[in-house]
Parts: sequence; C-alpha cells; structure tokens
Amino acid sequence: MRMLRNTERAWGAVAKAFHWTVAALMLGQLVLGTIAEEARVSPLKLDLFVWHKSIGVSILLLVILRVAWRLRNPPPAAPDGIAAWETLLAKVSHGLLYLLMIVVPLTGWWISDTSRIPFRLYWMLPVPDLMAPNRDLSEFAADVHGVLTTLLLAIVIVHILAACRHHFLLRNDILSRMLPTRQNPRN
Amino acid sequence: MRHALIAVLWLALPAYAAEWRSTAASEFTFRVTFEGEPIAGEFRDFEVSLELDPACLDAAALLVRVDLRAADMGDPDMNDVLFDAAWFDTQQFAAAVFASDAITEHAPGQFIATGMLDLKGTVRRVTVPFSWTHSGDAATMQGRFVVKRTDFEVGSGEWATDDAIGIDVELDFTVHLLPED
Repeated sequence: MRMLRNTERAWGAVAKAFHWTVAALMLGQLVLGTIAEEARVSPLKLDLFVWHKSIGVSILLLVILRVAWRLRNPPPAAPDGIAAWETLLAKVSHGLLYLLMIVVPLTGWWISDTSRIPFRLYWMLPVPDLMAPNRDLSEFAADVHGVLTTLLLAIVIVHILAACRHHFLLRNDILSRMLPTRQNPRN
Repeated sequence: MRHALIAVLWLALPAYAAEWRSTAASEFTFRVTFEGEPIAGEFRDFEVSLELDPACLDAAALLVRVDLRAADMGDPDMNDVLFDAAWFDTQQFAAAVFASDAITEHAPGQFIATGMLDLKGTVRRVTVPFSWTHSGDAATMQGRFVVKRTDFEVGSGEWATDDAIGIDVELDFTVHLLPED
C-alpha cells in the first residue's frame, strides 16, 4: 500500500499529490491568465477571467492545506553528499516558492477586489468584498501580480533545472523520489 | 417614420406645454448581471418632461431623453466598451428617447406609461410603471422597469446571449420634477 505520510527517505502520496496538482494548476494559470489578459474584450475573455480567478482561489486554498501538511510532515532527508550550501539554497528557494504560491493568488484577489468587475467563484460562490473599488490601486495590484508571477516563474524554472541537475548530473534520487509513479522504497 | 415622429416631438418640446421638468438631482440607474453577479451603472445626463393631471389623463404625456454618452459604469475601460459599436454605439446614436402615447392610473398615485422607446436605431413599445407624488412646488416620480437589451441590439453579435452579460436590464429611476417656467 502506498504511504500517505512522508518518511525519512521518501515523499508520501499526499505530498506528491499536492506537489503535482499545484504544479499543473500553476502552469494552467500562467497560460490562462496570459490568454485572458491578451484577449480582446469578448464574452470569452470575461469567461477566461472567471476561470483564472476561480482557479487562483483554489490554488491559494490548496497551498494553505499543503503548507499545513508540510508542517506536520518533515520532508525526506537530502541524499548523502549534498553540500550544506546546496541544502541552504534549496531551503531558501522552497521557502520563496511557498511564499509566492500564497502571495501571487492574494495579489490576484487584490486586483479583483479593487476593480469594479464583479466576481463569483466558479459562477457559484460570492467572495468577500474587502476593499472599495479603486482604479489606481487595482492597476498597481495588477503590476505587482505581474512582477511576482514573473519572479515565481523564474524560481520554478530554477527549481526544474536544479531537479534535472540532481537527476542527470549528480545522479541522485531527488527528482525521481517525487515522481508519482515511483514506488516508495522501504526504509 | 416613427423616428421622424419622435424627433419632431423632441424638437417641438419647448412649445409643448409640459407641466413638469426634471432637475439635476434626479437619478437613473441600470443593473445587469456580469458573469452572474450584478453590476450597475448610471445615466448621468437625462431629461424628463411630464404632463400629468390625474383628473385628465388623456392629455398626460411623458417624454424622456437620455444622453447615452454620459452613461457611466464607474470605470473608463468598461465605459469604452459601453460606447462601442456592439453596445450603445454612441458615435451613431448619442441619445435614447422615450415618448409615451398613453398614461393610465392603476392605483392612486401609481401610473403606467406605455410608449415607444427609440434606442440604438430600434423603436419598440415599452411599458414604464411609476409612482408619482407631488407636494407644493415639487414632484417626484419613481419607478423600475426591465428592458431586454437584445430587443435593441445593445450587446450585439457575440454579446447577444446571456453567457457573460445578462439580457434583462433593470432600470431604476427617481426623478425630481419642478414646474416648467
């Protein structure tokens, strides 16, 4: 049976599911958000934004659950032979990833909340309206959302490159142990 | 033809013996759904003239002219879309005009005006219920009615469904009136 929780050597099924689900949703959001932003004003554009905002809120909730899970489930130890500076760098970049995965959706909410465009989550659930509409603030929030998204994308690329380096150059199991297909080793 | 008639009516307005004329404190707002959520806007420039004597409703008349270029949804981007050819097309149709051909009183102080609305080049019959109160020198008419925007091709082409923007537009008005000089 597949382990739900992390062990000292392996990621549990829950952590893997969080990792890949959030990764897929973030990739989708990047594509969706870019198309919605670039599209000319049309019913499709308005629909795409409802999807983008709804999925963004979903990611935010998922990442909060993910962080809660992670706090109760320490990640498996790094393989032997990883330098201390590498471990530190990994910790910093993972910390930044978690931070941005929370802050980027929040800045998206900020844009929506300060704009005059109404929003209902998946066309169903009203969301709390926290701030009065303010065009300047909404545009500023949009700039922040764009900059932080670019930063998040950059760190994700570094994350992918680092995983590839571990797999192909250093030939350790850091990448493969996160793959959903791999059976967890006994420990 | 009807167009011309309304235009003539409008041009003839100064000579028309309306008893009441709207003041700047009047409000005329519209509401529609935007992806399932309500959104509102306001007509910031409109004029109402009303001839209304409950004892002699045959002579009653309501004439409303709304400058669509002053429609406002509170956001410049949304307003740009609103003025666009697919929506109000204010380049071609700067104003909408309603002229009643009958006003009836169905309860004390409660009236129904039926008449023709000329909006974006389409003229159609609409029914406008309103309450009317007057005390001394001032009067107020208040009402709410619904117009299907697609009847007037407001939101044409790809917008002509309720997919993103609702078809029913709810119009609310509170018109403060003073006797015409």
